[in-house]
Amino acid sequence: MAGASDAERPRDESWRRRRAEELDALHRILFDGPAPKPLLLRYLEAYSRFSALESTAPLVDRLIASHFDLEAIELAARLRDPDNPLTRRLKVLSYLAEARREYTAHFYAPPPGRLRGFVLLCVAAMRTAFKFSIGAVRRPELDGR
Amino acid sequence: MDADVIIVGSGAAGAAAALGLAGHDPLVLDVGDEPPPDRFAGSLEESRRSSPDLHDGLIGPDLESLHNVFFPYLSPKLKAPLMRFIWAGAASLTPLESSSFHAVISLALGGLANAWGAGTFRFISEELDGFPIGVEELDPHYDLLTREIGISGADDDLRPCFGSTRDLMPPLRLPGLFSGILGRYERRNGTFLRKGLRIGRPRIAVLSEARDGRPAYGYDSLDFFQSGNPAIYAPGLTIRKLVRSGKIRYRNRILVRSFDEEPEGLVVHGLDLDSTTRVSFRCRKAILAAGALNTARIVLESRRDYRTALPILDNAVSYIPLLDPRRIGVPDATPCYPGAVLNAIYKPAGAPAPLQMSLYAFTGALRSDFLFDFPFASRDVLLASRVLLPALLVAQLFFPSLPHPANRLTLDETGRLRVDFLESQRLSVERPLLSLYRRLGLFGHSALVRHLSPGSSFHYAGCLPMTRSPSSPYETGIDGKLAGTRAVFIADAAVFPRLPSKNHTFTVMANAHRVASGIAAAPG
Repeated sequence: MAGASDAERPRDESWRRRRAEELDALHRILFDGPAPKPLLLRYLEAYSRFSALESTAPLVDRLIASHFDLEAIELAARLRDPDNPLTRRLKVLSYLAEARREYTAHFYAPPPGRLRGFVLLCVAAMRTAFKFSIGAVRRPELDGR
Repeated sequence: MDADVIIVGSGAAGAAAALGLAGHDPLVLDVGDEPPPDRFAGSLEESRRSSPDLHDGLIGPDLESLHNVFFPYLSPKLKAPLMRFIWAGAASLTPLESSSFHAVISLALGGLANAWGAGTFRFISEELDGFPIGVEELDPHYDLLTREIGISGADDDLRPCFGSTRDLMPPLRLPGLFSGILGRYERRNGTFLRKGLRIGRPRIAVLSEARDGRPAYGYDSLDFFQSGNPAIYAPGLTIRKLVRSGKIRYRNRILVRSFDEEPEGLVVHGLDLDSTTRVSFRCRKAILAAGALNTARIVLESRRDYRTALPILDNAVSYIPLLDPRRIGVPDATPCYPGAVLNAIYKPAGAPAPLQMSLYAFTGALRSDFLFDFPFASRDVLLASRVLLPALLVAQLFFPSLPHPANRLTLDETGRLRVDFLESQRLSVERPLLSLYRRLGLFGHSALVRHLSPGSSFHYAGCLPMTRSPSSPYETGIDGKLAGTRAVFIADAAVFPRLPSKNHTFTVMANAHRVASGIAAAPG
């Protein structure tokens, strides 16, 4: 439909493909590999239900197409605004995945023990600092700048 | 005459009032929304093993659990899909408008207590300061209710703050994080007592042993996802038991709106939600126990008063996250009740009133509810939660609430309540508390303390305060009678003239039972 916004246009195959690419990109951040199809169907339901996803889809499409480090941008954005479009999408993915048995180990693995836990935390902290240094530069992309 | 006594509401106050009038054939009028069918086969762990996808139970067909991602904060319990029955119907039937007060109203059978943490605490004398009744008037009712509902707890350093330990069941299991905290406190309790801090086991209406056909608490990890665990007391248990035994009558799908007094008694007016017709019930006396907000609504509507502003109380709430580095990464197989595992009372020298804290583990809720609060890159938040959760707890701190002219409630002619509430009444205690917690090996920072918006405690009270000699038509007497009426009694927290820091639910119940018992004992 000429002049219609993304929210108004029928959700054609191109739209679904972009959402699948979006979910795969987010899934690779939190877990490994692309998202399974059942998760994609749930993710599309979320798009139907929450207009805040559709309204920010063009921005996220541009970020994905640009091959920026989404994880880094999201981290820098989250520390400033926890309701930014990328964090919201990761939260949606997290909730949907947590209900599925194949993700139980990701969410509910037993603690690794004190020494190993401290080491892993230190590594995670260094990785986070590195990601933040990248993301802080690119974070304005999330504002559409 | 439809009944000698009509009780409006089936929450904590309504159920306790019904118990007080059991056998006198009271009629309970209630909207009484009920929960949907359970969606879990056994415990959460068993359900995960038996089903590849728990979407409907954990997330919801309408993605209800994602509420906080897109909308203003709602308690993790209340946003669960199987818990929405507790509040979802109230917005249209009992509307409330406020830009500063985020209330949750329940029209469910059993009220908001369907999702409560089950904290049951007796008020002590200093907490009843300002009330026209004292501990001696409430004690017999506390005792009876303790036996009736089953409360677990301990005789420890909190006894001076929590009152009698009569008829308590043993406390629930204590996971390693909290047994460590309690052990360190007990080894140096002299130091902490001198600083005004006491720590001990909570009093909670959760069975640690089977009783009266109800099983002991089974640690099924479902408390945040569905109501109706028979080991956790809920007022609906009392209502259903009394109905089954023929000691009360219960009529649901009735939204009570007002009353009129007549020479021979009262007429209680409502809306039949099924037929959408107006209905009326005649009685000699009525007890309003619809929760402070809805009781105030009924009283104002009955008087066609769309101008008077009533007071409203609500405990301010803060959350203080704490970390025990000793427990980082340490596995602990001990199951944990997802409500208060320990309680703390803080009253330093010179403080006007004690402050109560509930100490919680980060169990119970979905991990996704708080994963992205960890300041780590997304790839690492799951790892961080795995390593840090065994060491994390939160201290939920309640502040007393006193009447304030800026905190008021009115009713408009469309039936909508309007609430103005000034966020205030928090004392600057986080820093000295954090200092004390550091001595217990718990670390936090004032920058991480989170203050919830007004209305978040769900402890609404004070609209029709109890006083020895009511001088206003919006006060109640010691017997619970609403001033200016012959036969209308108020039994919920609307009668509280002030709110101490302590959770008020058990005192609401004890007072409701006291009011109802007084009616039962009255001649005729």
